[in-house]
Amino acid sequence: MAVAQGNENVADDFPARVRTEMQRAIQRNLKGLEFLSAAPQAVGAMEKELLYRRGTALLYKFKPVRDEVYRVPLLIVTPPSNHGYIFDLAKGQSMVEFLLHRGIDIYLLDWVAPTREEAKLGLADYAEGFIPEAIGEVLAASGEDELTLAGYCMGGTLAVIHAALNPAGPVRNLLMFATPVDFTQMTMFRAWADQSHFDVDKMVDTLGNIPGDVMLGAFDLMRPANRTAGKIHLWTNMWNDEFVRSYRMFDRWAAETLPVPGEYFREQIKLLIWENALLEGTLAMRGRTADLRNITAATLNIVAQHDHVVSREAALPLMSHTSSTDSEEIVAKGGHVSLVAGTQALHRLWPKIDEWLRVRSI
Amino acid sequence: MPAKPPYDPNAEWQKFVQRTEQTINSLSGQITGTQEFGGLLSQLGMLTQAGQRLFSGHMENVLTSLSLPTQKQVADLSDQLRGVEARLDELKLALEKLSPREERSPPPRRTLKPPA
Repeated sequence: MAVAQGNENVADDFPARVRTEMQRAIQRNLKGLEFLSAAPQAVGAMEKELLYRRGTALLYKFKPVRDEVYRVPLLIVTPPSNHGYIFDLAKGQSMVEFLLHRGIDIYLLDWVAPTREEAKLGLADYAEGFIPEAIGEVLAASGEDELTLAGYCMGGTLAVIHAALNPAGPVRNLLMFATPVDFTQMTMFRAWADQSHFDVDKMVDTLGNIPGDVMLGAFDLMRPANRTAGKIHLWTNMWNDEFVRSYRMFDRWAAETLPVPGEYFREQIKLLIWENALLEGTLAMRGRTADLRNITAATLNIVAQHDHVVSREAALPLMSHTSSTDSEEIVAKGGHVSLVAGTQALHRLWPKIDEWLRVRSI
Repeated sequence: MPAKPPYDPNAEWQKFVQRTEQTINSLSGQITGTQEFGGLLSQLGMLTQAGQRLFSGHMENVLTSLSLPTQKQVADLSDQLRGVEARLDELKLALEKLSPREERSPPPRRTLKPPA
């Protein structure tokens, strides 16, 4: 865009700067009107096909863009409260696109809103149901006998629980993004959901599935000024098409926060937040205990420097409590969401992920 | 000596907004991160739920008398549609497994090695 491109050159030329600011002001008004009446921003850069579906769970395979790929496939597990397109927002802003071009064979376990019948789905249905079923499909589709299991936020926690329950399973590598393991470090959530005042049973029994608004409201409450500041930044940059497009994609993703099954929410509060059962080694599912020491897979633990949802401390046990002899941590610049989809990630983080993955995917 | 960067009012404005955002978030965190706030939030949540239940009960009567669908009926319909969508997906996948599409391009070779 002419206005944006010319910006750097007007440096100390006062009349030119005034002209630029005038042009931007006009653009803001014109584009502001467009913004208000625009349809939801399109998302999704790469072609994909549905491989498996059971109720709330959908498994996609991204179409490879190269004739030759690395042997070990990558399965990404999205948090049940969010859509997986955050990994594939748009051309040039898609981790999936980046890794496909580098020869990784990628699959995505995604979710749609659970029905009221699915309100009874618990942690075990995810960690010992959907995830192993998706793994089975990935192995069948790729013809391989091992894979890299990746997860973001609670998707990562579910992946870790699965790996801890299945030491003889096919998980060769664990690639974790902002994955809480030590829930005593989720201080804000612990304060809000403290056993002394928070009646999770009553909430779940009343609501069934927990609405996406409740989840989104909790995230907003952690950083109450973010939304307003975001709107101000949007207005300031309304002349910049790229900024607006990116804002709208993130805004859409946040607005489409999914409801989660009531039972899953209940167990998340009771077992993970109250009892910290994953770190304590007391999380039992279907007759087995999820022991972090069972995990021997190579682990890349990625945390964001300014993550207000999952602190580095909450994810740190992945480096110290497993039996993996190949663990690495990356503290990336940015926040909870920009970690997986920010423009900075494209230049700084994703190349590191590629380097880590490719030597462990042959 | 490097040239002094020109004054950019936009950049200054954005920095100001960022600083204010951080200050408000930090101050708010000191309040919202306490047990007392958590307790208040829980009470508020229960009150909201009770209010919603009461309101939805009344609304249900109003909507029924106007022959309009209630929230429960809309939710039922939404669940049914989701069920149909899921079943269609499952059927499509089952059919694809029975007769794999021949026009699909051959799968990529899984022999890629990292550059030396």
